[in-house]
Amino acid sequence: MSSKIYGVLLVGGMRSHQENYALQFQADPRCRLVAVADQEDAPIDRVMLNQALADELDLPYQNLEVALERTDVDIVSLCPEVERRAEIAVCCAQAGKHLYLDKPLALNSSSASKIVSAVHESGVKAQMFSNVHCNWAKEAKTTLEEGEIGQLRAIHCDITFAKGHQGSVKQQRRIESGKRSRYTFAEAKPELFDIGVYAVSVINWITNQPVKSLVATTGNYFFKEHLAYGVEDFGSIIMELADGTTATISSGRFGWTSHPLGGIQRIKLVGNTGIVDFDANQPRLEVHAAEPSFQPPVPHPLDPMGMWSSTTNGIMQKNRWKPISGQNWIEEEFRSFIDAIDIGTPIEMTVELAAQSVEVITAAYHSAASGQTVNIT
Amino acid sequence: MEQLKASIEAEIKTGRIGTPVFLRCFYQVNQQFTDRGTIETLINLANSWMHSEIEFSHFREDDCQTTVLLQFADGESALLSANYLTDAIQKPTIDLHLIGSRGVIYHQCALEYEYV
Repeated sequence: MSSKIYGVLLVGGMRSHQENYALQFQADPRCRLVAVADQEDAPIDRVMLNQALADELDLPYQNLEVALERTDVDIVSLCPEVERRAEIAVCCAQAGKHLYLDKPLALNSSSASKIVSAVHESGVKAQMFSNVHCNWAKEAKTTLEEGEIGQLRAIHCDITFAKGHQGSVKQQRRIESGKRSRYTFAEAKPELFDIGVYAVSVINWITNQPVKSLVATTGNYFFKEHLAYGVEDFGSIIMELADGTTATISSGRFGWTSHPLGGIQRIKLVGNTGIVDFDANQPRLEVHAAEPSFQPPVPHPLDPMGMWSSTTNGIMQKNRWKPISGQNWIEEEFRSFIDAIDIGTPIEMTVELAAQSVEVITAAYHSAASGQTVNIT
Repeated sequence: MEQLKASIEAEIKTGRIGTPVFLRCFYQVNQQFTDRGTIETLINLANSWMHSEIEFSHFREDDCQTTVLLQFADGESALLSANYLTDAIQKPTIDLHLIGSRGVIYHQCALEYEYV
């Protein structure tokens, strides 16, 4: 380990994942937060949120171009809106800064490719936030690589978030447009993209196989906020990987009271000599006591889906299920990125894998719109 | 299987989970049940719990498993998998979650024998 202290520039402020990412970098003794920055023409409401995070962390707020000229900036932690992510990431890579990237990588494959090219050309390190450092994902990969289930025939991953006040829409068939020209709304996100990216990227990482073709569905099952903005709250994909393996995901946001803890997070591997499950919530303690049951929070007007730490502070914690792994996977996620820069360890969730997820999910929207199989490779 | 089907039907009728919108089900059975009978059992379950008719289905199958994605006329969906055990140590199991518009039914159970 070198004795270098890495300067971290934050792009993205309050009501973005930067609220969490900044604290992870701050906690690593090899890092020092330097400033919050954004483009000169950033949306005014975003500028105010950036300034608020800068104030909270007692950091200066700077123009991005100026900040990228600073020699004490080594890393940029990037959480701008998905629509601006590629343009900003490319600038930062071209300035020679290592990139920590919020998920998903970009709005579409074209934008994702620009980030991949910029990272290659500049030679910087780049990692996207994902679940690959969770024990359940790592154990699945190890099990497969050690041949414990023989040859893989199928892999299934379910990731759902138990957040939001469900039950506010009447059942109706979703009319899927097949495109996501806009991703960012204060009250909503397209959830097959937002949460499905975890499941798709884990499958890509475990199998190291591109997706050959897929069929997908999207639905508006739970939330009036998603319906109002034309984005789905849930989706499913069935895929054929390049080697013929079957892969499926189901992902979305399904409401505060739909799960005893934070939501479903699990993988099933089906091989020709065995079948095995990996679950973030297993093994666990289950505690029932003379205490009030979980009550969802009053919907925050700027964050009814419960997306951000700052707008969900003080909500009642669910405490009946207590997974016993004790793993702090988020700390591991950030430590691995600094290790890659500091001592050259390999990055697991590379921009290439991250771009592959964007390609799969955007193809899934086309399939959900047409009802047809979409071929990718 | 009939008991499970009836129990879930009764729970749906109480209205606690709202309208069923998505079923994920894994049915792990011995290798002798590799014909379409096992996946048909799951499709029948999904069909009985959803309120509209199956509009399209997409199958993926091989010597170890059959998986199907179903879409229903009113937008409901299902991902169903029949997995065929080759290892005598592993037992038949059923593992499902039925998501409704207001809540979820979870069920995981090891089985003495398959209901195909």
